[in-house]
Amino acid sequence: MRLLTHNFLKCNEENCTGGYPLQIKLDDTSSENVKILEQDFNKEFVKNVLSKVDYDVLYNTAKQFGISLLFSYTSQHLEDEGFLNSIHHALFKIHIMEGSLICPQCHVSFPIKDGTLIYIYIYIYIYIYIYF
Amino acid sequence: MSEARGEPGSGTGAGARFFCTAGRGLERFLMREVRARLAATEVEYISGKVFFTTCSDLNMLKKLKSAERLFLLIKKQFPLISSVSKGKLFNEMQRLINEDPGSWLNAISIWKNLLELDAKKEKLSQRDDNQVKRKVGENEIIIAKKLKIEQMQKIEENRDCQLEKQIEEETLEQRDVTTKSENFQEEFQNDIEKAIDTHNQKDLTFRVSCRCSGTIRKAFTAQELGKVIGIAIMKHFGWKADLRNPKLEIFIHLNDVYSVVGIPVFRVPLASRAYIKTAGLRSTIAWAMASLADIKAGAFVLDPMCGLGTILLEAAKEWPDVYYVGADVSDSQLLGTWDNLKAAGLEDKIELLKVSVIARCVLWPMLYTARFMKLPGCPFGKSEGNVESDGNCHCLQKVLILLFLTFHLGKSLS
Repeated sequence: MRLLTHNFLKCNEENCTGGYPLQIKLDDTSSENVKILEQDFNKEFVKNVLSKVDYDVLYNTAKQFGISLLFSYTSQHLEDEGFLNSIHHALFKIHIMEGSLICPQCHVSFPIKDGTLIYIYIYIYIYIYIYF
Repeated sequence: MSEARGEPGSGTGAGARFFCTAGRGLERFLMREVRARLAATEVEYISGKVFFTTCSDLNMLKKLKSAERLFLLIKKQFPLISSVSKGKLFNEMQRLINEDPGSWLNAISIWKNLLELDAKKEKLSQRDDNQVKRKVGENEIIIAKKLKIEQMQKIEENRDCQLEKQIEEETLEQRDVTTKSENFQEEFQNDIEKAIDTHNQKDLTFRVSCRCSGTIRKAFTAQELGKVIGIAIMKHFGWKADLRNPKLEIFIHLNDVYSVVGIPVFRVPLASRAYIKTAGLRSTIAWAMASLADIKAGAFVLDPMCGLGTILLEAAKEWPDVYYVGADVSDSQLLGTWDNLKAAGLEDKIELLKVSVIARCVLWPMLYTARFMKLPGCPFGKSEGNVESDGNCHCLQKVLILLFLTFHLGKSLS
């Protein structure tokens, strides 16, 4: 599971408000709980993705993995290859293999086994437009 | 780029006339694709088939994603009347063949040109590709095969069968993925060998596949009709029939609306993809569904019930710079998806989650008539959408999705 996915997940228990961001807890008993896998760097794609993620959450999460990103960025930084590379590394290359995500409010935990997150519910909202 | 020779009966100038079979409902997708990908002209469709003219070469034709099979058109005409006596019907069919030999020979020469051009390009590109992409061991086997094939082209037809068996044995020893993509290449190479070997038209061996539907099917069997046509071809052109391993396959479809004669361009149907190891949904439908989502670069796409991930695989091949997330409730399906992703080399593009899905419906009254929404012809409406929604709603499509979902979710959610 990548940090990019983690950026979009919030606790979906009933009556749990504010369950975002989920805390990452790595499984210390297993040998390889974080893997770094290579991925091709596509500048436009990273810029697009960067505009959609919640940057503060990303900054804090990356700190947990020992990656120090810039605290905040301006449009100038968007052209800087080094900055984009560090974002690319944080978002795409880090894979959490064993661990769990814990909601800060209700403390429900979503386990991550073998790189796959077990996330209890996804809600799909279907909008039916009625035309008058 | 291949060109049609300027012989009478070609009728289309710079391009060749093809037709594709497509599943019912997918014709509109195929027409759109053929116009966009191949710059096709004179596009028309009858139920189950799309006819078009294009100058594209084999590589572009191979990329068609919503077609089942691709054929070169020899003849298309009004349906045969089946209410007459057998004798008269057989005469009609013989007339089909004897009437315009120019169009037959023209189509065969176009077919050979296409395959020869492809053979040249394959030889040039594969010598480079092999060294870059594959490992040394497989490299040697492939180069040895290519040398063998080149040698074989100078030897008589009889040895072709043996070569194919040898190649099949060798490919069995390799890994699944490379085996599959190489098998397709072997098929293409075999087609090319056979095309090039027929220096003399009289050496051509053929087989007729006849499909009948509608009223004609009630009166005659496809085998009977195939036989009559086969005999007529043998008499008229002097070719020999070979049911096991023909060089040329002739495809005839007779029904109440049309009679169509064509030559299949590839032995393997376009719908079987080299990059999908285990198919879940039919690949053509998966591509059509992915195309409905209007995916642009930089988007996020979620498939909440991905199964074996066929839709995501098709989408990832067509629109690469996008972040895909696949989710499913079943472990075994997720394992299957993971295998598929590894086989296609797309694990870095697609993320997998294990989830259970709840659909919530929100009724939203619109107080004014909005723009006209086109109803897509997609046969299955599975839920699939962008995480970042842009407010555009295909009303009728979503209603279909809702109906399908209530049925589907009711069954599988535990």
